[in-house]
Amino acid sequence: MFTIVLLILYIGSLIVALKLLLKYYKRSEKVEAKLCITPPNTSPTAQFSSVWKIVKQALISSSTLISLISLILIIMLSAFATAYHLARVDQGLSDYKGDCVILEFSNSISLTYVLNYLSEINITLKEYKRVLKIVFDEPLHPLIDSKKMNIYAAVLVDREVIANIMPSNDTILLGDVKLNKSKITINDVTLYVKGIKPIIMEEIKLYEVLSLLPIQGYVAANPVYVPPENTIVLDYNTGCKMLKLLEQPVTALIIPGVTLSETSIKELFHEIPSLSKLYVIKGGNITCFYNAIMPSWESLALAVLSSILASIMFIPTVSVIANRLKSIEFRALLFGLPPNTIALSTASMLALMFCTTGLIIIYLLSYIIGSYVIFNTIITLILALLFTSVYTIRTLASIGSKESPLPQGVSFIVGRNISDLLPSIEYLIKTNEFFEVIEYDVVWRRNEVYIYVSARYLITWGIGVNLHITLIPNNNNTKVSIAYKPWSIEEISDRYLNSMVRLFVGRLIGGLTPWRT
Amino acid sequence: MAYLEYLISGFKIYIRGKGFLVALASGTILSVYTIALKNPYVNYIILALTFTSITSAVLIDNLMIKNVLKGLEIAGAPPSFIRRILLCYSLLLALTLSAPLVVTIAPKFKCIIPLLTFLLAYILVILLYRRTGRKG
Repeated sequence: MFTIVLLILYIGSLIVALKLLLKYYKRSEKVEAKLCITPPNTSPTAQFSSVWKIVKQALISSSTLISLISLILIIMLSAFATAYHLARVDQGLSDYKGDCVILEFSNSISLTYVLNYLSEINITLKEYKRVLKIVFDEPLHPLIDSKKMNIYAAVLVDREVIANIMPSNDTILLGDVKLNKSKITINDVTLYVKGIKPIIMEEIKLYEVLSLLPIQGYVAANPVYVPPENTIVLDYNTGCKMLKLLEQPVTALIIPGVTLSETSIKELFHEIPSLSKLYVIKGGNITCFYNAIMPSWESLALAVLSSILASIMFIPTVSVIANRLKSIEFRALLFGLPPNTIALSTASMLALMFCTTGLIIIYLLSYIIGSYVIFNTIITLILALLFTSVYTIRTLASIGSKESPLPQGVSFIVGRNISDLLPSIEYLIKTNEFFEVIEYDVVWRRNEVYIYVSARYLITWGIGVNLHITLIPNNNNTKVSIAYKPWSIEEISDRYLNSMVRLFVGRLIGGLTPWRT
Repeated sequence: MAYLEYLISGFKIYIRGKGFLVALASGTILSVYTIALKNPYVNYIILALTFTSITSAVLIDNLMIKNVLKGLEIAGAPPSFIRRILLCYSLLLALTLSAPLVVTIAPKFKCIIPLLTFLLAYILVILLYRRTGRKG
């Protein structure tokens, strides 16, 4: 079955890949047929590689390394500062006046393991009571007075705990009054049944906290028990012999005459993962501790403080990167890259680098110290990244906006003849993703070429640019003169129009730069 | 009198830059940690963080120090004079960072922290000065 699913997936992915390839091939054919010109070297791989080279030059520095080390140390500090409380509920007063601790496990656990661990944390046990609740995968079918019964669950309890309802070790409790004083036989062991009303059986609580019957689930806050008519309750030792159980498994352990500090309770929850609840009865008060942690306010405050410290450490790195980018950004503009591309790429790379390192360190710390450190360290990382990203974007993005006044015309000499140059110019103008070419006229006069272009800016409605390009032969080279005039239907600031012109002219100049002499 | 002149020039560089703010903030936050946490490992982490903090403080003043040094060289200040100014600057920076920490940190770190932060700051600014001089 699994192989067939894999085969279908494999064939499906193959079809999708083939379709995508076909689509890509058709599109490239269409573009070539439409333009009929040779594109200059502007492949996505080449563009990505050049952007990556610039970003790498800006990022890899000693200041970035210092910031990374600081981030690691600060996250470690935040992890050590983590303090938490266990979730707890005070359940009111108990009739039991002595001290008592009840450990409740989510599944059965070896008694020896629990006792060994308790002795390790110096808890001396004078006595203990064992409880085991078993829900069978397949129901048992014992004979009661020669009739077959369905038994879904069994509860094994040390008889002293329920001595008031269980008169002897060879008695079995069943939630059916009709079967009182019947004989039950399981695995060749015969016991006497004591029938109890089902409702009474559901209400029995050991030490007023632990339900006798196994809980199957909850409807709202009310527990749903295994039907008492199909549940047998018997003495722990008798039950172990009858069901042939080894190693004394328990699902709850009652330890009378003992009290625990919160530190010991935390240690117990940390060391015994299957411990789900812990009841402490002290001076008539019942407190229930759960295996859920709540970070303390002090540790949250320290996490925020850590993030502030991390942000302070990042500021010098950003300043150093900003200084490096100032020179690179201007050159990148000349090569036809849109404004702020390099700055924003660097900011994203920086955030990604810090984020990845932070997450790796958090994972390692949660493995070494404990999973409870995750919350605090994540808060530190997120806040630090947030502060840093805002500062980085503000600092780096402001580099590009410091534009110098745009000259009204540009002239330069290109080492190619006019007929070679024309297709490249046409390609560079018509493939600009920010503009739609409305008019493109080429006029030859003797050996000179005049190109007129009118283009509409696609990002905003009602603005565009008119361009006059003159190509004049100069020995074996060509002199390119570009004059431009932005236009708009509405009144728009010169700064905005100049930025728009840069997008158009920058691509053209950048595309011709490789052949400039 | 000559020592006072170095001190005043060093203080001017110190107060003009943002490095002292970084050092002061880092020192204060780290001292809060030394009060709040009693784990023995924390002191070592804080020691490492003081080194990164002092490096960050020098780095943020990087450009300003370069310009001041160029100006001093053009004005004809001898290298020994510049070195003493840098010594004062790094001393002030190290004191700003370590002063809050000295009050709160464990006794065995009380002497180490100001000394090591000062040495690190001085080495960094001297390296910066040599680099500026080489570039010319």
